[in-house]
Amino acid sequence: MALAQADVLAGLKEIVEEVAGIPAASVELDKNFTDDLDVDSLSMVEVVVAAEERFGVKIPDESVTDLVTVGDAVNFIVNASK
Amino acid sequence: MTRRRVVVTGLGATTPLGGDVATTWAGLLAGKSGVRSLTEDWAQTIPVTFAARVAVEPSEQMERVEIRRLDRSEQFGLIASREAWKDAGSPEIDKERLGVVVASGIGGVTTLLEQYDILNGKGARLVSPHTVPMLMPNGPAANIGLELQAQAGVPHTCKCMCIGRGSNWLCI
Repeated sequence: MALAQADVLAGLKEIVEEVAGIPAASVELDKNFTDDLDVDSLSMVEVVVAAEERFGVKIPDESVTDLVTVGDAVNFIVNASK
Repeated sequence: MTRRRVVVTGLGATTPLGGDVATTWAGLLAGKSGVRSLTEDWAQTIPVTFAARVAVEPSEQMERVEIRRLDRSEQFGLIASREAWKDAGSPEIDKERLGVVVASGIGGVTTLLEQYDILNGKGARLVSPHTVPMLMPNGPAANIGLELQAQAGVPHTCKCMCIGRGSNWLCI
């Protein structure tokens, strides 16, 4: 069953806050991981691995560079869960 | 051998006697010992039952995210360097003339051991991407250098032989 976008966003907020120390309230769909949230490349790897664990999906390494915004990541995870 | 004079402009420390210079110095003058019994479960199977652990855990002095990203040796280095820098008056100086030298007995050995266990138990994918920056012996110097934006010979490390006592020394 596909995950709901709101649930994925809520989960990602927690992950980004835990990994990068970014307040969950700042993690919105239109925010760019690098430019807006200042998530560096190593932390992004942690976010991806944590998201895989939490949502039970696989995010291939070659797809990570396409996850520019939080919305990109949420959509990818929702689609991967279908 | 030519002797060069140096000036110590600031002090910083986190030790078994205290989380800063003042507490450590007061403890030394009072003749206190920083050695304590090891009561944790992991210590019950080893022959040594005591150690001189830091008096103040880094988690009480640093942000949670910093704790996640830094090995214990790097945490100690940053805590001491912040106090030393503040003690020196947080000077505005030419970053290209600012270097960092930190001596470390081993470096991030706890990270190495933890991540090796994760590699064996959970697989390579779950090994932290921060493993190398955390375990490298010049990690403390590198992180202090990054924080102070030091651009002159930043990640210098020299080995510190610890005989009968644990010690890390840093010089900015």
